[in-house]
Amino acid sequence: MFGKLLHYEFRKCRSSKIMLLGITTVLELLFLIGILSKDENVLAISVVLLTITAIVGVIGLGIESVITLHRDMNTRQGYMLFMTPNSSLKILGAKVLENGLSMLLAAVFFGALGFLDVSLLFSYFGELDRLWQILSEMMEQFIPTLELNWGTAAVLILDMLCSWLAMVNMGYLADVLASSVLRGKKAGGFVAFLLFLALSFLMGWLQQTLVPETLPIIQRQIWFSVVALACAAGMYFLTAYVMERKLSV
Amino acid sequence: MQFDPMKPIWAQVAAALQTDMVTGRLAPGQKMPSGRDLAVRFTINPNTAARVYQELVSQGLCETRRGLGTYVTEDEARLSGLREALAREAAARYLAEAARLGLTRADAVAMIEKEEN
Amino acid sequence: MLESKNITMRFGQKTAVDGVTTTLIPGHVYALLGPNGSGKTTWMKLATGLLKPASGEILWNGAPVGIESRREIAYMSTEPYFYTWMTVQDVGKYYDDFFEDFDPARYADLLSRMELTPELKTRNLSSGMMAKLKIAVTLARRAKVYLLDEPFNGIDLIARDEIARTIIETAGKEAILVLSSHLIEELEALADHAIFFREGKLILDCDLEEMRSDSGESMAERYRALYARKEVI
Repeated sequence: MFGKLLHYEFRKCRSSKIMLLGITTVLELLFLIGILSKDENVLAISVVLLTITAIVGVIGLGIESVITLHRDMNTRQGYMLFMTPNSSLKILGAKVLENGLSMLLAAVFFGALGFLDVSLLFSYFGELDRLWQILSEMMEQFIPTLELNWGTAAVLILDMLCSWLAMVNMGYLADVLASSVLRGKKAGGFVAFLLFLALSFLMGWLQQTLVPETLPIIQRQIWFSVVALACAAGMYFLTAYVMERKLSV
Repeated sequence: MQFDPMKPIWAQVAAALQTDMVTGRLAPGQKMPSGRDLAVRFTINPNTAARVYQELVSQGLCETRRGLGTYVTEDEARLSGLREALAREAAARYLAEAARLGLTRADAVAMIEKEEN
Repeated sequence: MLESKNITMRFGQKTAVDGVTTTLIPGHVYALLGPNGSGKTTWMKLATGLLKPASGEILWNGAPVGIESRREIAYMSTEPYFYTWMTVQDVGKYYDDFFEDFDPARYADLLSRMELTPELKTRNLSSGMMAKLKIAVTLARRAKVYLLDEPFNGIDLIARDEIARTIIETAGKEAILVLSSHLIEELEALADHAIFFREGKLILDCDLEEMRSDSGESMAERYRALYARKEVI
């Protein structure tokens, strides 16, 4: 039945993804027009808009997942989900998985699109290997001791993944706690947000306390990710517990 | 069928079926609907329907044949007895109503004679 | 057997269900009666596990209601609850996906009896059609317990007859049916037991035919006797 839960979680968020795809397609067309007509203004606008769409889109997908959970807990539509014979662990697990997969797919999609677009740009206006060089120089400016290679890129991606898992579960836990206590009153969203901030602060504190500052930056990042992952797991089980025991839909 | 909700429903359904047996609408030996079908037909609770059959069986007006269902009795004597019982009840109701209207018993009987068919 | 053991539910200061204790056994149709706000809906939601009680418990065959009991207990709320992007067919598919006791053939049969077609979108349904859809999908389950909250609400006469017929067909030796309704006359012949609620408390639990032969009262008459406001002198 878990597969079914996952299927319906995806279905619930389908329209926003379609809309995101639509906007991206329009902007991409604009970009291509810019390339063909060699109009720098059009190119600049479309690149900026595409970048914003990518960032907002990926983050938005994450936020949407929390909003969907909120709706499931506080409106009648929630009956559909909570009257089925599924444990809170499974229900929440399907949501986390849907969220993770959607964001991963979106990140990969936008990443690939970005890479393609930049390649197109450079093949029209310059050479392709300059791309890597520019990126490396950019990175070096921000993090002097870092070498941009596949290893470090992987660590960065891992870090983003773990941080996001932690943040999503923070969002879920904050919302479930607020909903259990306030039962859908207007203040619920605000309280959930405050709880979310509190949990973020808590995790940040844990990371700073548990991971020694003396470690090289790569190893620090890896340990940060481990702490984030542990927090994510802890919050996931806590959220499921509160949902199972305390939540009235 | 319209019930009087202030009286036990099983009794009202049983009475309706008894009348059907006397009028011949339910022929002797005819198979009766199953308990569930009776419930659906009369739009009553299935337990009520079961009670109806219990009553009719205990009065000897129906018999259950194992594995086959419930059947109207073929015992003519029983059916005549039922006809007489129902007729007497009808007569009693008439006499009670006539008395309520102020007629003497003789008047009430005479009224029947006057009634042209 | 569904046992409600001294169950209490509070919403803030208000006590919606107050120490309700009763046992429901298979093979019976229970009419759940009482004015708005007397706790009938809340009790049904507690029995489904959608609400968590402040104290007390509801047991299904000895175990507290929860994930497992939802496999065998079917609940139909008064309000519409289907996802707005669904069609009538999608609703059936959803139930089929999550409830092993869902019977698609029965669903199709009930839909045709209620004159609902599979392609209709739930967001386009009138309130009457929505009411029929809720009933159709709930009774298409071969559940052990059916908790129907206001099954006749907003439904036309012909469809009500269909629903009454379906309820009788569903009622059997193994099922427990609980119907709450304001249309008491509709339930007179369907139910065999009545449970009366007032201000969260269970005030009367009785066998209907016995009540009729003992005191010559209909369920509606008893309701009036219990709830009619006293005349102000």
